[in-house]
Amino acid sequence: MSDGAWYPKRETFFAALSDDRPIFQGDIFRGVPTVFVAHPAAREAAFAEASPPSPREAERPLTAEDVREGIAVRGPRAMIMPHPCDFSEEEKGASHSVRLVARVLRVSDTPFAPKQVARGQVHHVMWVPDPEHNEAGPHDWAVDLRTATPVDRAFLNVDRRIAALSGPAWMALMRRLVYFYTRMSIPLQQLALQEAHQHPDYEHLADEFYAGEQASG
Amino acid sequence: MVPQSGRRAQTRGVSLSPSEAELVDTFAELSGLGLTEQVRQNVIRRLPAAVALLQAMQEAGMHIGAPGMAERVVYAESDSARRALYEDSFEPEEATLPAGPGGQ
Repeated sequence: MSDGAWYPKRETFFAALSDDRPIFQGDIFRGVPTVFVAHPAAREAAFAEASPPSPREAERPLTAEDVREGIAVRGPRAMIMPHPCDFSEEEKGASHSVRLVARVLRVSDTPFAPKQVARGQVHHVMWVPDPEHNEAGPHDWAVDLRTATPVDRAFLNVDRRIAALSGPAWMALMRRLVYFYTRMSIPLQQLALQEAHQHPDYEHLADEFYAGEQASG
Repeated sequence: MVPQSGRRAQTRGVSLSPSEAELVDTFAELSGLGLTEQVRQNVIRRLPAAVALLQAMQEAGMHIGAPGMAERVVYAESDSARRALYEDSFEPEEATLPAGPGGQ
């Protein structure tokens, strides 16, 4: 079955992994945390089963220790969010240590129905199929774009990579990111024209095309 | 007679507004690159990858245009989901790690 027009069919979702495949947007790693920074007043209210305080009600002087105590560490799987131009070790990535990731969790750990996620109806979530199953279900995965977290580049050891996106799935991620941040739905033919040659599985095609032209000319 | 090998130039018309044509001509004067080379370097070079990816997306059943966004799922955060925000969930690593997306 097709899991919906937003995403490619599950059997075409992942690219083959290899050690020499560059780390790319949408790659999923194990052992990479995301964090949520709790406000002490909101945390106290949650465990007292009281209503969440408004920002004005929660207002209080805070120390770094207060903030540190409120950090909840989530994980352990995360997806790389930015375009590779921002973090590729051969480009800007060599000059800074910040890598932005978002949490990857089972759909069963979200309040959403599996088909809502697979059909692209949850706008802050990127659907990722579980390769062990043939149909959408609670076993599938969801990337929660609200959990975007900066982590140290040292987390992204290629040995910890557990999945990479195929070209079509990468297009779906970019479209989802654009929609999440701008509420603009962009047509994929524009994305493909501008970006397809950047994907590791497609970047060689222009050289092959012109090599073929040269050989036949 | 059609040659069996060798490069054969083909022409395609390009419709430009007067101001677009002026831009093309000005760029050509400044750079020495005519419209053909401008198109080749900026458009044609990207097409092998774009064509392959569009074909892959079609075969994968994706909607290539901008999909409608009318359906939206909104939910109220439950008390338990709210409390879970404040608790660590990072699983300690084991010698053999559980499989994740991608099955690896």
